[in-house]
Amino acid sequence: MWTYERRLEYPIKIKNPNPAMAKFIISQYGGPHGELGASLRYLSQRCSMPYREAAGILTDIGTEELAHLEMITTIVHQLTRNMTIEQIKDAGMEAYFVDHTAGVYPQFASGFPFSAATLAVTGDAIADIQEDMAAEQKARLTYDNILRMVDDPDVIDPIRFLREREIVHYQRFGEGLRIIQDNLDKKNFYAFNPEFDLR
Amino acid sequence: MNKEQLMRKIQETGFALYDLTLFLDSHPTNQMALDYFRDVQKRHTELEAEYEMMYGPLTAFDTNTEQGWTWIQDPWPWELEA
Repeated sequence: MWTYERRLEYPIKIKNPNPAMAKFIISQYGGPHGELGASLRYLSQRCSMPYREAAGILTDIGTEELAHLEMITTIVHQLTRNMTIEQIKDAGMEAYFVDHTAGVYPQFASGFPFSAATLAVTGDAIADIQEDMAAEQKARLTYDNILRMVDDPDVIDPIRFLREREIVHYQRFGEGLRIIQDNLDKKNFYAFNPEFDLR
Repeated sequence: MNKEQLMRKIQETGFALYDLTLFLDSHPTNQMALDYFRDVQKRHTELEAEYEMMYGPLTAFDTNTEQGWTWIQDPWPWELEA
């Protein structure tokens, strides 16, 4: 089970509403490389992961992604609270506003709703962990793209923190891949699925 | 320490513990990391106890009901004013 801790992983206090920024940062909530998909990917994949260390990594990174999802929803909320109709129109946020007002909905920057099609669970340790490493890089590059477009220090600071965590997660998944391979036939570790074929 | 300063300390030790957790998942026998985890764990527990005594619960299960249901008091973490 999970227990809610009444704190953010990293502090966020944004002074000025800015719906134009919220429109694309929301992609890291429910977008193709977002934190919701990351969390569901790892917490789903762990069930069939045959090696202790890698199952621990999936559990704990999957849980940290929930804290990151909370940080993104907080950024979007603080960028859109107290905004005026004029600010909504100037930011081109009318379409979002009509459907969600100032609520926080998991969607791509393009407006497409969150989709489980953005993640995979193959039931194969190597295929899954390789996807996880790619996913961390895709999240990192999305944060890089966001950092190219934001100019508010209150937003830049927590986004930089989140970007850094993607790099650490990539490192830990890389170690997970090495541990999986060390457990397999070292001469031929791509030839079979350890979850299914080693039962 | 005021509420914000104490929360910042908890975020620091909490972050150290979380990063160490991930490291220990892939290096479960690293003695230096295990020792460091134990030290930060002790500090984190002390800071959390101090915060909860002064400012209210960090988890619902830690609520002191003698003061009522303080779990839902304002503000929630996403609502902090700048």
